[in-house]
Amino acid sequence: MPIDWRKYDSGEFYDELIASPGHPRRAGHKLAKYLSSLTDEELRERRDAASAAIHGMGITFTIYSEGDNIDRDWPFDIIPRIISNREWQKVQAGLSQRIRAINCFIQDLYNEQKIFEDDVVPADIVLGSRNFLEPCRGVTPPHGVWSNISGSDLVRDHRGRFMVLEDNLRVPSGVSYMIENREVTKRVFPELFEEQSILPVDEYPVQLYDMLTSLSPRKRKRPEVVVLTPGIYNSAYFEHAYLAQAMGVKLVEGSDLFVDDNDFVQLKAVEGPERVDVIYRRIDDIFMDPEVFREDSVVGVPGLMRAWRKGNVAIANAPGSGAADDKVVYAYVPKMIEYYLKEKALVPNVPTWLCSDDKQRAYVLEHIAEMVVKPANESGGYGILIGPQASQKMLEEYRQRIQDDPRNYIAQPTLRLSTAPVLTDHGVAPRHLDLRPFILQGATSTVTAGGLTRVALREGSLVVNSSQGGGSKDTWIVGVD
Amino acid sequence: MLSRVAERLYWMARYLERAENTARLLNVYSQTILDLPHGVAPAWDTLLWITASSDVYGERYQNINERNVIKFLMADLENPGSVMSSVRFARENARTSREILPHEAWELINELYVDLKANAQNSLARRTRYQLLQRVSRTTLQLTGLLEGALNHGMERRFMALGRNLERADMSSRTLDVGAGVLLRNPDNDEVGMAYEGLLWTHQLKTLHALHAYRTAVGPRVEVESVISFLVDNTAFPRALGSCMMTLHNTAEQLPRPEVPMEMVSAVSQRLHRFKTAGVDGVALHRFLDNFQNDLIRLQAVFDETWFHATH
Repeated sequence: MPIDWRKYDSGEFYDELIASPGHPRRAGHKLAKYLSSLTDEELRERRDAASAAIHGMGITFTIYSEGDNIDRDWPFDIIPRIISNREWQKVQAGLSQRIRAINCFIQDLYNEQKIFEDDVVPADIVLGSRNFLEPCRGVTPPHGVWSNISGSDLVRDHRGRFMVLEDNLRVPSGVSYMIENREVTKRVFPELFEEQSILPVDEYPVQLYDMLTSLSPRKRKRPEVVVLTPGIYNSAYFEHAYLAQAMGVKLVEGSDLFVDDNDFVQLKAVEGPERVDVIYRRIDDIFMDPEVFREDSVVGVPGLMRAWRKGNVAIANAPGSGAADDKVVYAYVPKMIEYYLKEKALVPNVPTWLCSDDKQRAYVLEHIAEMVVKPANESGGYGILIGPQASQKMLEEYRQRIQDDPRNYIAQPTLRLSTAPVLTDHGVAPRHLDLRPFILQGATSTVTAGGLTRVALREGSLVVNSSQGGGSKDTWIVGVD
Repeated sequence: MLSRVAERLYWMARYLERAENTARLLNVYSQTILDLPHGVAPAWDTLLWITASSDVYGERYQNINERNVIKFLMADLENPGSVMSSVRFARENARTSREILPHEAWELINELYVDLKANAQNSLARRTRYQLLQRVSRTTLQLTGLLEGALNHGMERRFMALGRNLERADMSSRTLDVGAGVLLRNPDNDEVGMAYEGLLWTHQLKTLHALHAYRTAVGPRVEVESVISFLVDNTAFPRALGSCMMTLHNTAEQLPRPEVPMEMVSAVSQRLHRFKTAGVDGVALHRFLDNFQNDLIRLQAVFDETWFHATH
């Protein structure tokens, strides 16, 4: 039986493709019509073709708990998620505004700390965070920008409004999957690209490269740019290799680099040492330099912080930028936008309760069963409590955790996240999703056309992380004429 | 070694290379058009131009459209430049030189031919086309690798290298000749043309297996002048014109009576070397490549006179 959109109902949720049963949204009209013209058999064929392509292209990811199995095929749903270009332009402007404000904040935080003096953000919640790194004080990176590459997670609520769920300012991953998803879709649905303008996504590596070279302390045509990876056991290793290749630069591990007596970073090469200008690091702050941070780090480079502080090498993202990647700090971003840019936030935050505040904590403890509680400092969806789905025992445990360490928890209402149709074994069905666009900031900022759509493949699930049963979709920014 | 055998090996290598290049051209083009903005029609006659087959096409088909052009270039035995014909000619040459080739080489060529005969006609749709063309591409690459690793260093191998490199130079120069503006063929749409210039030159690089090598040597930004200079006067990348000429030169050197061919190859290399990329416009580039194509025709004639059809 071909797809009948009249029988597709996402209920109370905003659906990205179907506005109400039988009625696709304008930007998705052609897709919906095309999909319903295919037989079950044809749909199955396309799904198999996508799996074969993913397998053949070697698009993999790693789940740490799986031991030796370090590359699993990337779970992918073939039905693209569609956003109209007009709507997207507003989101782009909002994300660009947001990252500018955040970078002003980090620069302020490690230098003058005016925002604390002016009482806009309480000093203790930031300075007390383990992501605030004292050795970064007094440094101004190139362009005054700390977080050059970020990936904010966006969700839509039941009315279809985009909201920022969190900012990933350290080493956000997923951009290679965004590009590869498009390659897969082109193989599976080449017919669909004929009749509409879908913005290409493969410019990203060039934009990334241009931004990275703009940070170089030596002004030369091709500065030595490297991608620093913790190695093949890292869950995002596929992406590290992908980006290095797409930029035509070297992929290095910490042991490939050393810092010389003059505090320059050098690459160990068969031709002899070569000076490195820019490091796109994909390892966390605290592993970067065992002389300054964790002594037991084997993936870092001793002396790297010295070289960086002297301006002999640029590091993206700058060490210490994680100080703003904290769910408590996140809550203050709209205020930062007003404070630094004198503008109103174009894309709102999800309402957030800070457990460090007595009143807000009292509210959270009382309403915990309706809320989502998150640790301030984790990523990958770990440590999250989803109130409505949790047992009494879990709720009690989290109440206790919050009281023991209020600074480390925030709470948000359980969002009615938007849905989009996913091809299941029993036809199409709505599933919840989010969106991670990637933002580059050097002298100027760029936002990807769309981003990585992550989708919860289990019915009713709100968890989209690939490490926890999530999949992804190609994301199309479509011009509507 | 018999002139006849030398000539067959030479042409077998040329046809295999042509089959691979054409398959890749069609595949990359089919992918690239997906990124064109709505309203910009892909110019299917570009493919006819690259393969120098507009005239033959005109005799066989009335309309220039995707289905016809793909059919003509992929599956049409009446078109001597189609993938199907190239594989057939390669197979003919291999069949009459079987005693010279490793057994698996014959098998691979034969299987590929059988596969194409059975499937080419019904693989014209975009989705299925990809698979078939990729099989052609892979099998021919596999053959090249097999011959490289299994043949004695000797004349057989050298004549094949000669054929392969002449064909490569031919394909690279045609691909360059297309240039960005032609693919769009849309003079009023300059803004679109500019925005997609990078995309189109990336397509040219992919067609020539050159994207990775270009990124490593030049960087990730695909710019017209850098691409041209990378593909013309460059001895590092095997499909660059300069590199093909260098290989022809070094290969000829190890063959009997190499003087005339070597001298001519050197002259062509000199001309590549003198070509100025900076500020080059379409007219100058086209004139240069046109001359280069004529050089290749003359080279073929010299090969014929020296080795294949020598009468003195």
